[in-house]
Amino acid sequence: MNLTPVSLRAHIAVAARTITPTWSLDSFIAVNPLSRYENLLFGEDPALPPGTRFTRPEDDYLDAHHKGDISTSALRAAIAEMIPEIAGTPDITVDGHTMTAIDVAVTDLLNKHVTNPDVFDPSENGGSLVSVVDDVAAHWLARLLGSPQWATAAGDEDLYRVFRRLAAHDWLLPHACRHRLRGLPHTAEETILHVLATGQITGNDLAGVLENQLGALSGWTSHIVHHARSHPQATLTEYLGIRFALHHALDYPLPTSRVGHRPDRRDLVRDAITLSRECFGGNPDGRGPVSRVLMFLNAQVRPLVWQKAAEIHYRSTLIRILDAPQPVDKATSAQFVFCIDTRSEGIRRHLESDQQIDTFGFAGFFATPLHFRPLHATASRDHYPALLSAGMPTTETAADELQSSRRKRGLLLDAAVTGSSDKAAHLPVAAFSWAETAGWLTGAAAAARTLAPTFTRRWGQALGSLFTPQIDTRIVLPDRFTVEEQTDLAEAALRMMGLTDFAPLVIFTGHRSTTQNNLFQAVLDCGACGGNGGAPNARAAAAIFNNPHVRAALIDRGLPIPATTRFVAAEHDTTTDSLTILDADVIPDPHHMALQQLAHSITAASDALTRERAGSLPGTSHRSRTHKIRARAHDWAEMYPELGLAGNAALLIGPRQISRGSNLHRRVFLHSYDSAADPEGTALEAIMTAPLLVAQWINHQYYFSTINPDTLGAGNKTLHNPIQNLGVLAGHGGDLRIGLPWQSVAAGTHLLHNPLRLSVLIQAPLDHISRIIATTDTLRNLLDNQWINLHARPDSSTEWRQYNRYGFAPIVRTSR
Amino acid sequence: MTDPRTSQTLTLMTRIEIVCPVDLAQALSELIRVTGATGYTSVAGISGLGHGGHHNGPNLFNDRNALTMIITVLPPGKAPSLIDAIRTLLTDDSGVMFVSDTHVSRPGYFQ
Repeated sequence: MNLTPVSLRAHIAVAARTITPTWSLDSFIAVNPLSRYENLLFGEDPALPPGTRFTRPEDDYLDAHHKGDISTSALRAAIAEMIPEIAGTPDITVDGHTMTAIDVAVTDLLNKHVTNPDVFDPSENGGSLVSVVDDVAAHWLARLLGSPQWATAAGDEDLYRVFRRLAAHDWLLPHACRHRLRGLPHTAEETILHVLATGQITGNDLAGVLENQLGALSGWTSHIVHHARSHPQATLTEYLGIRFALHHALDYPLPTSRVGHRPDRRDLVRDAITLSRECFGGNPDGRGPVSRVLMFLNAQVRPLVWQKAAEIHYRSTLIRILDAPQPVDKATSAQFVFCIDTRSEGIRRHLESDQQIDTFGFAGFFATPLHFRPLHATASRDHYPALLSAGMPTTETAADELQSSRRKRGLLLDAAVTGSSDKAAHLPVAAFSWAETAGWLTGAAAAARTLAPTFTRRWGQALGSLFTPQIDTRIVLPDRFTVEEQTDLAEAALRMMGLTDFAPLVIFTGHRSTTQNNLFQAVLDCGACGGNGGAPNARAAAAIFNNPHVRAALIDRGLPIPATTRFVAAEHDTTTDSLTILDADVIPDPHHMALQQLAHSITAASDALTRERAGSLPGTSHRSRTHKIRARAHDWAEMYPELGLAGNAALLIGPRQISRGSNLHRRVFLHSYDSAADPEGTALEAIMTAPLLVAQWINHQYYFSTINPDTLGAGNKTLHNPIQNLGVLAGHGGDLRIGLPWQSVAAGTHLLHNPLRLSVLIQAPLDHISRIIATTDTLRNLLDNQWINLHARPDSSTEWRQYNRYGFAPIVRTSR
Repeated sequence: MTDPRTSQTLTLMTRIEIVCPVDLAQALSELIRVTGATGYTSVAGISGLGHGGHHNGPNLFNDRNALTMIITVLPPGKAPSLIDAIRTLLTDDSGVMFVSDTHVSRPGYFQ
C-alpha cells in the first residue's frame, strides 16, 4: 500500500465514520452517541467502545417485570414480534401437557440467567501500556485545547506542531522519549507514516490501528470531530499525529486488533435440560423441542426481547390513555404555542384546566432560526436546531436610549471587574496574592449563597439593577429577510401545527431553565434553540405574525388571520414553572386586558405543575412547599434543580384533541398536526424530517447515558472538572466525557429515566407517512433498523397500526 | 488550447465533482485543502435517483440529512492523489465522483 499524506487523511476519515461529534458545553445538543451505527440493526454487534451495551442487564428487566412495569403479555408480544421463528413453531406436547413455543420462551426469559456478553479486557490488547499513551495524550490535549494561555501559544500552528515543539521540553516525559520526539517529522501525516513504517504496519492492519487509536480516548475524539469544524488546524489527523508520536517516543507498539465484544455462547444442552424440566417435568422428550426454542434466544437476543417488551408495555398504556380523551370545548380566548419538549406537556395540561385556553405544540424555535446577538452583547449565539446550518442575524434595539446607555455602562463595569478578577485568580503569579486580598469577600459571598440562596439572589438582583437596569428592547430582524421569506416560514408553521382558526391571543411560549453552578445548563434549555433559551425565537415569531404585510400575504395563501388576533411572546421557566409575558409594553390595550384576565389561570397552572413535579424530584415530596421547590433554581449546591427531559418515551404527532385531558406524565413530545390543513403531506414531511429526528436524538442521548453511564454518559457531576468550554473530565485527568451526567438520569441507584426507545405515534394518512419514509434515508434507517418504533392511524376512529418494513400491521393489544 | 469563440488561451485543468451525504463534506473539504487545491464550490440540496434509491432534495428544517455536491478544479498534476483519497473516502459510503478535463481562463486562481 502506497500511502500519501492525503490518502492517509482519507483512511482516517473512514475510520472515524463511527464517531458522533459532541457539542461544547455552552451549546450542548442532545445527540445519539451511536448515530453512526443507525444503518445497522439496533443491537447488532458493532465494535462498540469497550464496556458499552445496547440494553440493560437482564436482572433489571426481571425486576421491572416483578414490579409490574413489564407485563407477561408484553413479553409474549415482544417474542412474537422479534422472533417469528418461535411464533411459528407448533405447540409442544409432552406427556399430554401442551405449551406454545412462546410460553416456553417466556418461561426461559423469566427463569434463566445467561451470562451477558463479555466486555473487552484492555489487558488483552496491550491496555496497560497503551493507557500511558492515553494519559499523556489526554494531558496534552487538555492543555492545548482547553487552556487559553496554551491555545494562544498555538496561534496558526497546527495542533501536532505545537505538541511536538513543546512536548520535547516536558520533563514529565523520560529523557529518551523527549529525544525521540525531537527526531520525528514536522507534520502529523509524516509522523504517522513514519511510525507505521517503523512498526511494519501493513495495509491490512491499517484500519484496525486507526480505529484502535481513535477509540482509545473516544470522548476526546468525538469532541475533536466537532471542534475541527471551526478549527481546521486541529483535526483528527493532528490528534493521531500526537498519539503516534507518543507510541514511538515511549516505545510502545501500536495495537492492531479491533476492539469489541466477544459473542457469548450459551450451553444449549444444559439449558434445555433445565428448561424442559421446568416446563414438562422430568420427561426427557421435551429437551429436543425446547432446545429448538432456545436456539433463537441467545444471550444477545434476550435483553433485546426484554427491551422490546418494556416498550410494548409503555406503548399499550399510552394508547389506552389516548383511547379516552376528554371532550373539548372550543377555545375562545387564548392559544398558547409551546415547544414539543416533554416538559411542556405538564404546563399545557394544567393551563387547559381553563376551558378558554387551547394549546399547541411546535418545535421551540417557532420556525425562526436565529443567529441572535442580545443588546450590548459582543457575540451572537445560534438559536436554531443542530439540523440547520445557519440562522438569520438578529439583534435587539433599546426602547429607551437613555436607559440603554446606563445599562451599557453597567455591563462594561461588570465585565471589567469580572475579567480582572478572573485573570488575577488564574494567573500563577497573582493567584496567591488574589486569594489573600479578596478571599475574605468571596468566602463570605460563598457562605451567603450556600446558607440563604434565595435571599442572596434577591439581594444580588437588587444590587445588579442599580448598575445594569433591565430595559425594554425590540427584536430587530434583518432587512434582507423579505416579507415573502417571512410568509413562507409563517405558512409552514401554521400548516405544520394545523393552526387555522385563531383566538384573539396567540402566545408563542419559548422555554429556558434557571440553574446555578451547572456546567450542563444548556441541556436544560431549549434544544430546538441550540441549547439556549427560546425567548428570542418566540419574540421573532410574534413579530413576523404581527407584521401586516405577512398577514396580507397569508390571505393569498388561504390562511387569513383575523385583525383582532394579536401574537404575543412568552417564556416558560422549566425550573420554577413561571411563565412570563415578553414585550408586554408593546401589546395594545384590549389584548393587554385579555392577558391580565389570563394571569390567574397562568399562576394556577404554574403552581399546580410545581406541586406535581415535587412528587418526582429527589429530596422532595408532594407535601413540599412550592417556594422551596422553586428555590432550587438559585441554589448552587443543588444537583437536581429539575429533571429535564428524563422519562421521555414517545412523540405524538396529531391534533391536541386526542390527548387533551390526559396525564402523559411529562414523558411525551407533543407536536400538533392536522392533516386537514396539509392535504399534500408537505407539512408532515417537515415534521418527520426535523422535530421527529430531534426527539429521537434526545431520546437516544438519555437512553444511552442511562444504560452506559461510564462510556456514553458524563458520569457523576460532583467529580466534573471543566476543560474550558469543551467538556468535562471526571476528576483531574483521563478522557473527556460525553453524554449526560448521571444526575440527569438517576438519583443514586434509582433511575429517574426509564430507558425506552422512542415510540412515535402519528395521526395522518398512512400513504403520506409511507411516502415520506420511502424517500428519506434517515427515517428508513431508524425505522427499518428498529432504533425507534412508529405507529400510525389515519383518524381517531381507526385503530393504531405499527410500521414495519413491509407496511403497517395491526397492533397486538396487551393486558396490563 | 485556444477558445475559438474569443481567440484567448485556456489552460487545461482537472475538474472533480462529488455528490455525497452532507456529513462527508467536512472530510472532503479537508482532503481538498491538504491536496493543495485553492478552493471548491459546494451546492446544497441535491436530489436524485441513484444506487441507493431516491434521495430527497432539501428539507424545510433539516440541512443535515441531505446530499451535497462539491466541485473542485485543480492542476492535472495534483489530481491523482486527491482522486485516490476520495475513492478511499467513498469506500463504505454512498456517493459518486466524476472526474473530467476542463479549461480555465485564469490558471493562477487554481495553482
